[in-house]
Amino acid sequence: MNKKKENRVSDQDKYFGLFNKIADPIFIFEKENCRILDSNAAVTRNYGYTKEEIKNMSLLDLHPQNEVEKVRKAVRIINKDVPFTFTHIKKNGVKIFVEMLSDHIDFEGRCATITIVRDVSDRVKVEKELKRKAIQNSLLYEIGQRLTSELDLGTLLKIVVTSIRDAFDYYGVMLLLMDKDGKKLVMQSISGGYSKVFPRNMPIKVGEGMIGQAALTRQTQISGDVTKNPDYVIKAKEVTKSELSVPLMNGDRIIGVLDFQSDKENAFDQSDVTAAETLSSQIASAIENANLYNQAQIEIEDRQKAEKALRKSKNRLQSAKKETDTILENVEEGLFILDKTYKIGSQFSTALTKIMHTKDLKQKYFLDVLRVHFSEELLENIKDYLDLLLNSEIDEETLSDLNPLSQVEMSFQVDEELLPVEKVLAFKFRRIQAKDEITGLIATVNDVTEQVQLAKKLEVSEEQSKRQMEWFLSILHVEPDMLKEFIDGAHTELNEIENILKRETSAGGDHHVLEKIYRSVHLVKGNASLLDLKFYAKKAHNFEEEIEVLKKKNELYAKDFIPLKMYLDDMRSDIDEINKMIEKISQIHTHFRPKRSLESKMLVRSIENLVKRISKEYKKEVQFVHENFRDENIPYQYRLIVKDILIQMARNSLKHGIEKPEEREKCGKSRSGLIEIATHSNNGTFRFKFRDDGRGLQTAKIKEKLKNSGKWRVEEIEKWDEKKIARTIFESGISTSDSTDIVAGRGVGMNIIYQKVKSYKGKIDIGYEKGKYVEFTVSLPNTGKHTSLTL
Amino acid sequence: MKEKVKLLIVDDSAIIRQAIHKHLKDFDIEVVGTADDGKVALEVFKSSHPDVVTLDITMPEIDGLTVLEEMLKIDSSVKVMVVTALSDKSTGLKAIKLGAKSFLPKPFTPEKLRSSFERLLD
Repeated sequence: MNKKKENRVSDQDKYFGLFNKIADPIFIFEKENCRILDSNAAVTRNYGYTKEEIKNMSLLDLHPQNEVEKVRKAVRIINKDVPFTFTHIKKNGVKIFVEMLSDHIDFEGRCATITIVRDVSDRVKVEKELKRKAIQNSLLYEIGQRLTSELDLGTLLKIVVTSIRDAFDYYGVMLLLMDKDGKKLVMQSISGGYSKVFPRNMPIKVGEGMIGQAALTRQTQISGDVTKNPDYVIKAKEVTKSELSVPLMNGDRIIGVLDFQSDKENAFDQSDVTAAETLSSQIASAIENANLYNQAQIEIEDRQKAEKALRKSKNRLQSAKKETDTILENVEEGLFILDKTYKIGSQFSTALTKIMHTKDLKQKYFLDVLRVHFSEELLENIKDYLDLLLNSEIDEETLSDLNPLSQVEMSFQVDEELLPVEKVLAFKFRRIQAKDEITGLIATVNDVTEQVQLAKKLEVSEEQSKRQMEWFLSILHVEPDMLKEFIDGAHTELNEIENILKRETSAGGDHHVLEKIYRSVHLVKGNASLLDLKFYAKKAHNFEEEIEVLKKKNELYAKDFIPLKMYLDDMRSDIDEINKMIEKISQIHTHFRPKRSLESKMLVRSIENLVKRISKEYKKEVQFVHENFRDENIPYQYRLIVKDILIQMARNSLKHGIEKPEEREKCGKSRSGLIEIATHSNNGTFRFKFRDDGRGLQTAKIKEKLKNSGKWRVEEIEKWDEKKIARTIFESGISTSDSTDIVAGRGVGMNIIYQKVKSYKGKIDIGYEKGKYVEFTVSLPNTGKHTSLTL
Repeated sequence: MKEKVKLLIVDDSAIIRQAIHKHLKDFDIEVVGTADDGKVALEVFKSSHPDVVTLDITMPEIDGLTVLEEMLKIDSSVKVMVVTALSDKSTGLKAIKLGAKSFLPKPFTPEKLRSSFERLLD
């Protein structure tokens, strides 16, 4: 028993020796209440409690409160092969992670538990770290995946910050991008604690705070205690304790900053930096991708837009071209464009080719096209005009008055036509202005031939109405009765001409016929002139001239008389018109018709007017004496012939007889000449005389004319006495005047008178003295059949 | 107040001179002189410094184109309105080439004169 006791003691000694030498803390505690029964030296060493202190403690005192239940449970189900892991608190309060391996023992008769404790704090820490790294890596991968597949920058940036925050459980994550100006960073997205604190688009200057420094230095900025960092700047009411700012680089270029903030000190370690930098480069390239994608997207959209616009404008151009073509095909005017060298553009209106009778105009020089039509001088003017339009500052309106082509006559040789086509064309030119520059001219040309012809017609008709007005006015000055006489006389003569033309010209005619017509026309002319109906006298004069032309022809054919018929019709229609007017006028005149006695003075007065007018015309001074001319003594049937004779004689006298004042003075005569008319009536004969105090009859001059007329042989003429020569003035074709005019000088007048007087069985006596006077005495038988006006 | 436009009227016809004066009365002008031949025109031009000249081309003494050239030599800024027969476009073109600013064809209506003058002043 002793021996056994000795063994037991020595065993006990050995046991305690061993117990205390073990490096790991060992606790022996009562199973029931966990009161510590014994502990080895390692416990006091590791936990800081003395052996005595430990003896009064419970195992549970070493555990944090929240582990107590777990420990109680574990004590009950102890398995010597499975260690439990718990937290122990040392005397100094430091927590350690422990692995506890336990077994049941009998300690001094009590049911106890022995526990070996191993401090596994370091191991747990490493494991925790490894685990976090594993998670970080898998998250990085995941974010990277999402980044590369996300091309919309806005979405991308949101994903970045949200993912990072979720994955790493940081307090706040922000992403800022460099502004275009390169001077500041602008907040793009934010997640976590500061989402509500910082505004989106918050700017941070490059160099400002840790973010600004990261951008400026392009180096990661890390601070475990921002209050001690001189760079730190507080932007809002943030509670940041530590911060990590990583620059986002694309190659050498800084594009932004990724920023992490924490409300704890020393929140970031090297692994965070590594992770953040890895993320940053991924983000930077993702941003770059997104940018490229966006740019490409924009380019594609732009291109699509451009293509669409191009298609649209092409369509528009096509339809505009179509419209232009339609216009050019259908417009009635010639339309073309001239460039600055006056080359005709490739597009012009179809009408232009018709107006200009050529299709060959494209790219031709305008001036060359005109060259065949115009003189060099006109071409020069055209060029000057176009030059001024193109190059001068003078307005188009002013220049338009100088357009040499505003109305030009042009003739075109057309293949199928024998004669060239004559046209009047009107060209107009306008400047084509692009911005402030004149780039060319737009030209229009119109065929105005018809308009011009119409205008001419209009002019003629205006002339006619003007003439009618003139008639009207001259007629108003003439007594209606005298007009009536004139018209009756003219009618008679014109009928006579018509009869002659009908009777004697159907198979041509001779000069004798012409002579007869001439006489009648001349008579009408004289009467018109007497009444101062200038327009009608002029007509008769033109008729006379036409006859003169025919007279010069050797042979006369029927067609030669056609123009005479036209003159005749014209004169007759005028007479009809005058007649109508007279009817109107006579209605006015009825109310203040002059007395017969006054009326009878009309003839004298009209001769007096004629003398006054013609003497003025010839610049001669004449006194008209008519005291002894008794108008009322003229038998009614002779009124016309007396008037005709007096007119003819007055004209001859003023033309040939009366000298000009200077000439008269040289001959010792008074400046003013004298014309005297008088009537005598006795023994059934009505007689009147016409006398002037002029040159008398110039028989020598008449003789010369006779010789030149070829009507008689010269020897025959030489034999004639003065009287016979004088009487030849009543022969047709003899006039001493060298020129013809409307008043006198045709040499027919006297002949007509003579014929008329003869037809009434009357006679004309001539008395004269060279240089002194000439006196005609006309005798007409007074048959008494007709009453004079006075009866 | 704006200064009046100084006008010199050159024409050998007194009627035309009066007509131009009368019909331009409504413009803010002051007629600083009139002349009936080229020689007088140049004398008056030198002494009166007009802003605008209406110049007849067919005139005794010195012809209008020469007068125009002389005037422009003296004062290149003067605005000359050449008055000439409508049919004589060649002379009108020559005048414009020499530096006249306007061309008024004769015979002219008061309206035409006024509208041409208005454009000249612009």
